[in-house]
Amino acid sequence: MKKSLLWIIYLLALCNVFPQQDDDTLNLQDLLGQENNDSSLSGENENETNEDLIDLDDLFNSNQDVQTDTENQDDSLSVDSLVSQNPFELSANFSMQGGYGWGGKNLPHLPGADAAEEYEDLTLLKMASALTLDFRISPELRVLQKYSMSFPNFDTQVTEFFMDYNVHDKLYMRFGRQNLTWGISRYYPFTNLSARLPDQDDYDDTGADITPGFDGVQDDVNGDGVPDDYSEDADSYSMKFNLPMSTGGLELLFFTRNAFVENLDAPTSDEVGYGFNYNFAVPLFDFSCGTFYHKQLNWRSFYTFNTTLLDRLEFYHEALMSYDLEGDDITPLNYETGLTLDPLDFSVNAGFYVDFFDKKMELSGEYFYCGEETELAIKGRTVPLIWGHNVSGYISYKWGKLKVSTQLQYNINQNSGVVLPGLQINLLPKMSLNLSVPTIFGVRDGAYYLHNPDELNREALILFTVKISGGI
Amino acid sequence: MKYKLIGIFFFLILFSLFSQDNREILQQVDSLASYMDHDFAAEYTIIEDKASGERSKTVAAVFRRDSLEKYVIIVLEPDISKGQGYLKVEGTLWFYDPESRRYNYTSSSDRFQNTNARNSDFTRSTLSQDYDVVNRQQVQLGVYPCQLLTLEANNNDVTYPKMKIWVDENYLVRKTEDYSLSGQLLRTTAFPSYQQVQGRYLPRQLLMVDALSRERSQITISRVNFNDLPDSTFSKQFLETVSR
Repeated sequence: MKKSLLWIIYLLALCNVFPQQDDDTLNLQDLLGQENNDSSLSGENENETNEDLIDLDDLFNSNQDVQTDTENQDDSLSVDSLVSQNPFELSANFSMQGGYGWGGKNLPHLPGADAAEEYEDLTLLKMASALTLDFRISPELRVLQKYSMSFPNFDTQVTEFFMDYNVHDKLYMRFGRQNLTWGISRYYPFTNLSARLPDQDDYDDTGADITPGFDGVQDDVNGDGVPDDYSEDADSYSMKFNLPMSTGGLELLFFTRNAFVENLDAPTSDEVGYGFNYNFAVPLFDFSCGTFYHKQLNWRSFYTFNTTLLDRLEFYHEALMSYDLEGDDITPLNYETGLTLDPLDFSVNAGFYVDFFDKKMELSGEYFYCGEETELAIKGRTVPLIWGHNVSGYISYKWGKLKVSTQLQYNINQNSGVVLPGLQINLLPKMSLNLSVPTIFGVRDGAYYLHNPDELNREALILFTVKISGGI
Repeated sequence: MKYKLIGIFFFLILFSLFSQDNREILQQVDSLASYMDHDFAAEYTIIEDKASGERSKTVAAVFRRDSLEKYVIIVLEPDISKGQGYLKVEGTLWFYDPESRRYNYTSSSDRFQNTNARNSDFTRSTLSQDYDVVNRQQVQLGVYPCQLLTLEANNNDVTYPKMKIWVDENYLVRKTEDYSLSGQLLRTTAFPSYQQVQGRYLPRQLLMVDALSRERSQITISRVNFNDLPDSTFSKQFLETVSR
């Protein structure tokens, strides 16, 4: 019997072999006692607040009765109170970018480059500001207006102007000028269907592409006396209906833009595109499919799929089918070389995104096969989609206020690409210093060379900029 | 030999009672920190003291439906992050960026808005499902007599593989310590004060200390509401609609 008792004691002791918690060595007070309690405010942080932290040393030394909250129930949070607590909101933001860039047009390493190197420098100064008015007239009705102004052209425009209407939290409507985003890829947004621009057949005598929106060339397609810059200006009009279904839902879209409409006061049905996007989101994966047709564009349908692997790695895949229903006015962009145009095209991509160390390190990559031969220009992007096999990648790392990154995009078929190594330091509040070396490589008639965003068309340059930005 | 068998038998009974008792404690803790019969809405204010001495403030609206393992978080402050949102459905968490109007997957174990809080801190308590109690002690934490439970995760889906939690006589968690698999202390959280709203308990304030960076976060929970929410609250469309 004694042996059995010893057995029990021994086994119970085993159960308690796990690290013994000694309040004197690991308790919060001791841990906090090592802290520098002089948490004086720097006064430089944009989120600065003067609220005091609770007294850490007395946390558990007095019994704090459970407080019964009955007096402030009227102030409790709800969906209605969230949207109606500030019925009118004004916000503004501003950014200024100034700097200096030095680089060469004819770099010796490029095939076909002249022996004589040509270097040019340029100063840079841009400013932009935006003003947003957000009216929450009621839980059902909201109106948002966003105006922007830019320097040096002093262009002013209505970037967004739309109304939201909510039908009993079952159906959501948004009508007006708004930013729409379909699809996943940030490198090649080929499934963002409403952002596609039509081919314009505009080439000068030398064969250079002067399609509106490229290289700053503007046109007046609808004859309203106002130049239509497809790539930069806000010019869209849309009406969308969203029907939530579980986590995802169905979106119906009617969409057009300035260049598609002859008379904005009375657009015809042919001048308005339409489509839908259905999203099915479950914990295992996220699937979307949709279609969009506008008489002046090819009919396109797509699906997207993404999932998270190992709670860390985001994998995505998209596919698109494009069909030229009209079968006319198909003209390839001028960098195409004798391809036989097919009314039915397919495009597909696969990519990943992963981050480490609490997002200090980010890594992403994508392969994209572009089977489309026409209508490759994308709203807001200097470089259009490029036919053939494309690869891209991005890596960045942050050490406190310093961030280094490198981005690469390359088209295999054309042997044309761009690499963008960069360094950013946030030394002062709202100010960042940036050093980057954008370099175009590959053949001289490749798409990245022809659509060089640099004003002087330099193939490589060292660009130093200071950016000051903020908002209220 | 007979005595040994009897001894083992008694031990197994004792061990079983011990384990069951521990499991019941965790279940009680979970039941107090989970709201399975009603939706939950509250405003969370997070004040963060960085190691550099800077201080930041983040305010977020949190909507939970624990019965379906869903939550939605809308960032209200600071201005630079305003309108960003999170939608969690079971083990999946989407992040909504109002600038790009895109949804991305993100991890529950990631920091929430670069604070000491993790995205997983906003969901219901599932300690009894995710952890096994490997040790229990009666300790005194200030004026509170507490059960100190040492926990080890029984799956890989949790943010911290090891924990220690101090549970007071009312099954309210007063303090937690979160450890890495190697036993490195990562974070300490104190729950000095609780509030009772519509008959349910929840912390009024809690304090988190990152053991590695020494950064501290104070979270205040206010404007608590347990009224039912529209189903559409837990949808992507809701994030887009309320973001501003």
